[in-house]
Amino acid sequence: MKIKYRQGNKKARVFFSICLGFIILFCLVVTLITMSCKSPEVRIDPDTLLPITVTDDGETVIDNPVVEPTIPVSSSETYSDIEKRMSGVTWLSPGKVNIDGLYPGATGEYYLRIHNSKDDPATFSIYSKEANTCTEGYTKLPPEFNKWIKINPSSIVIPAKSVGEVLVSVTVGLRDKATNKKYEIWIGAMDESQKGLVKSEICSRWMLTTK
Amino acid sequence: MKKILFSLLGVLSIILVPSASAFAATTADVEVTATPTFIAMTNSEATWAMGVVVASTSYWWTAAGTAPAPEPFEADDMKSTITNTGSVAEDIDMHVHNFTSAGVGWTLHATVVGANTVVLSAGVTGCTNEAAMLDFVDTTGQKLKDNLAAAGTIKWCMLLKTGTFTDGLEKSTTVTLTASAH
Repeated sequence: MKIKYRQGNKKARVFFSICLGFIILFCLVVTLITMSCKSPEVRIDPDTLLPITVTDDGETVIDNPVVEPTIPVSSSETYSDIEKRMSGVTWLSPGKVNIDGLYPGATGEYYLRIHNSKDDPATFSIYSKEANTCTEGYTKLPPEFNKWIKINPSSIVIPAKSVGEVLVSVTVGLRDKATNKKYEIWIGAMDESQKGLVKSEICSRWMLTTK
Repeated sequence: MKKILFSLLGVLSIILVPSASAFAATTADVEVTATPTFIAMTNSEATWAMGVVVASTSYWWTAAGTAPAPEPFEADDMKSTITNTGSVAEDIDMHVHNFTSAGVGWTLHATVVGANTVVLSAGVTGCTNEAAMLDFVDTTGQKLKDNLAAAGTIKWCMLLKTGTFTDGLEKSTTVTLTASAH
C-alpha cells in the first residue's frame, strides 16, 4: 500500500503540475488580452484633425478615417485653405463633435478653435448651454450631468486676426447612471465686447453617446 | 501534497489579482470625431434706441419703425440682416431675457401684456402677419431661421408690446442670436 500510495502521489503531482501550467498560461493570456483592450485616452490633434491615442510612450497619431473634412466648396480645398479663406470672419470650429462610447470615468475631449477677425484683441467667453434643438435621436443633456463638461479656459483673450484654442472635456461621473444614452449639449462662444441690444453667439453642437 | 496546493493557491492569487484589476479597467474605445466646419454669422443692426415708452403701446423695430405693410412681411420693411458667414448651413436661434431694472423689472410673457409684463416678438421676411411672429419668454430659445445656407441672408424685425408700469426707471434686456450647424 505504501508503494502504491507513493506512485499515486507522484501521479497527482504530475497532474497538478500540468493543471498549474494550464492555469498560469490561461491567466497570462487573459491578462494580455485585457491589457490590450484597455482603452487609451483619445484626443484629437487640432492641426491634422486626426485622433491621437495617448500612450505611455507618448502620443501616437492614428490614421482614423472617421474624421473627414466635409466643408470644402471644392474637393481639393483643405481645412487650412478654408481657414485662410475665412480670415475676415469671426468663427468657431468645429461645428459638430461626436463623442461615442462614453462610460463612467471616461473622458473625451477636443479643442475648439475661435477666430477673432477684428483689428483689436477680443475677449470671448466660452460656456456650455442647453441645446436649443437636438439632433435626431438625441436628447438634451440633463442639468445634473452638466458637471461632465469642463471648459478650459472659459474666457480667452484672442489677439487681433488670430485663433484661440479652448479645450472642452467631457468626463462621465463614476456614479452617474447614464448608460446607452444619446445626449446633446452646445458649447457657445461670445465676443464680450459686443455692444447694443442684440448680441451674437456661435455654437458647436456636441453629441455624446454613453454605453 | 499540501505544499503543492499552497503553491497552487499562491500562484493563482498572484496572477488572478492583477488580472481582476485589469478586468475592472477594461473598456472599449471612446471615440471622438469632429466635423471640421466653421460656424459664423453677422447681424447688421444691434441697437434699438427706444427712448421713453408709453404703457400699453406697440413699438416696432423695423426699417420704418412701423408695422410691416403689406403682409406677409417684405424684406424692405425688416430692420436687420443676418448673414451666415460660416462654411455650412446653419440654424439661427434667438432668445431673450426678462427686462432688468433698478426698479421693478419687466417679465416677458408669451401672449398677453400686464402689470410689468411685456410681450416681445420677432419675425422674418415672409412671416404671414403679426400674429405669426415668434413670442419669447425668459431665456427660452426659438428658431428664427432653419437651415440658412452658407452665405445666405435673412432679414428680421421685432415688436415690443408694453404693459403697465409701477415705476419709471430704465429697463434693459439682451437679445441673443445663436448660430449653430444645421
